Amino acid sequence: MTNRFVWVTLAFTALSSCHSGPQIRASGEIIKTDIERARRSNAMRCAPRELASAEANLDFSLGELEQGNSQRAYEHVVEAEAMAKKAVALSRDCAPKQVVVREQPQLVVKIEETDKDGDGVLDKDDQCPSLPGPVENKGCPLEAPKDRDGDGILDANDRCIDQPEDFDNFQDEDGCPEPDNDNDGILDTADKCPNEAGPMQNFGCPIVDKDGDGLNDDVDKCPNEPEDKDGFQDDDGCPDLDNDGDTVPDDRDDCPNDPGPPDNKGCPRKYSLVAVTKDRIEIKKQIKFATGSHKIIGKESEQILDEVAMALKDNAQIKKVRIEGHTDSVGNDASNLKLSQRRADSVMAAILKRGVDPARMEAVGFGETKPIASNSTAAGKAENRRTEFNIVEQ
Amino acid sequence: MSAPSANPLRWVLLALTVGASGCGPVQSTAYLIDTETMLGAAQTAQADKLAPYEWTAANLYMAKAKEEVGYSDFEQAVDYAKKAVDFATRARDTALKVGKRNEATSSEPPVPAP
Repeated sequence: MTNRFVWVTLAFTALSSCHSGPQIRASGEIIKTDIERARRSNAMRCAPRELASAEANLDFSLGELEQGNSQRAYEHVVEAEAMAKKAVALSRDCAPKQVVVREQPQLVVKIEETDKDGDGVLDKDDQCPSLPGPVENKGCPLEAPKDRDGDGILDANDRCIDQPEDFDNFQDEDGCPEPDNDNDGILDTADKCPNEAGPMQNFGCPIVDKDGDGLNDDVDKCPNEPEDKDGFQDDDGCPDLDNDGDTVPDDRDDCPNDPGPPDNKGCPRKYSLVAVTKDRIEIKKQIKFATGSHKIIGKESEQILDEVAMALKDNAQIKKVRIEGHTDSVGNDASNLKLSQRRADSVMAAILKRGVDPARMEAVGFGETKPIASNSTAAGKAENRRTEFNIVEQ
Repeated sequence: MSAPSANPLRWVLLALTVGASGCGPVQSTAYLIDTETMLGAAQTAQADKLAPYEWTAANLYMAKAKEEVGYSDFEQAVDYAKKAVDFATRARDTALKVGKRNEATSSEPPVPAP
């Protein structure tokens, strides 16, 4: 009975000392977890020997277990467990400390292919990125064309690169100034006709004969009207369409140079008692007045007045005639002067009655102041008593 | 001169015996020699200080290989010996790397000439 108890006790003890494979494997899984934890805690740095020992012993235990040596497997598990715990403990404060790393604002470098001057050459290839230029010149502008005299005509086209063009609408393309366009020796600035040659006396303008009458304009009083060359004042260049001014055009005037009424074909009328001269209308006989009076008497006096009026009408060129009254020296001067004035007025009135424009006449009494003969003789006194028709304007 | 050839069966049996019984120990012994050689190289590189993890593992595996040889478990011994060689190699390489790195960090920058 006692022996039997001993054998049972020994068997129980033996069995209890044996370690089952699953139990060891389970322990191995726990150790593996510890080892992983230790690795995460940086045991490689703080507990490398413990970590290596734990891993090796765990490996050994599994090897022994495969060989069926549970006891040796157990021994290694125990060793592995101890080492794993030690590794975890040693590496507890070994894990890299968490450091808050603030992200620096990222500097964004923008790389763009730009072409600032827009010349088609990218800035990276453009030697003159701010100045446009062709590709063949590496983006730099070609040398600017020169204009040395600054007249706007480039030197390449400028025949006078140092003299600016004067731009006077005369050969302005050649770049050369033309100070005397017409080469007449008068500078354009003083030349009234800078593009037409002309003498100095004509201010640089050409002397022409615009009306073609053979007289150059510089001496032609009527440069735009041709001289009629009818032998009457042909040198002035002006046409004389009515040479004698009798209102009858020369082409219808039988006497173009002698004034005459139209009803006499422009020819002077033949007067019996008067004659029209250059400066007067001469009367061949005197007008008679009553003694000491201004009253005109005698039929012949009326005929003379008729012809004087006719002559004035026929000679329109006579603009004004002065009717003068003169006396001899008999009597006092003042009364003679008054008498001569009244007689001149009387003649003027008589002619006025015959239809002559009063504006063409004036009456003046000179008394005895202008004798034409001696007053000491009767013949002389008779000559001094007279009426004259002097032309004062024509 | 005629003895070996007179008994050729004896040589064949000897070879078979050696091949059958000595293959495991020879192989494991060879690995163990390699391991010790590699560990010696690692120690020269100061792997015990500069690569303690690999150094420790290599030594443990070599010890375990020897233990397995003692148990005549040559196959297991060879496996452990291979691991020991592997760890010893890594220990040496790591020690050399760490040593170079330490030299680089401890070297002072050259003083510029006056």
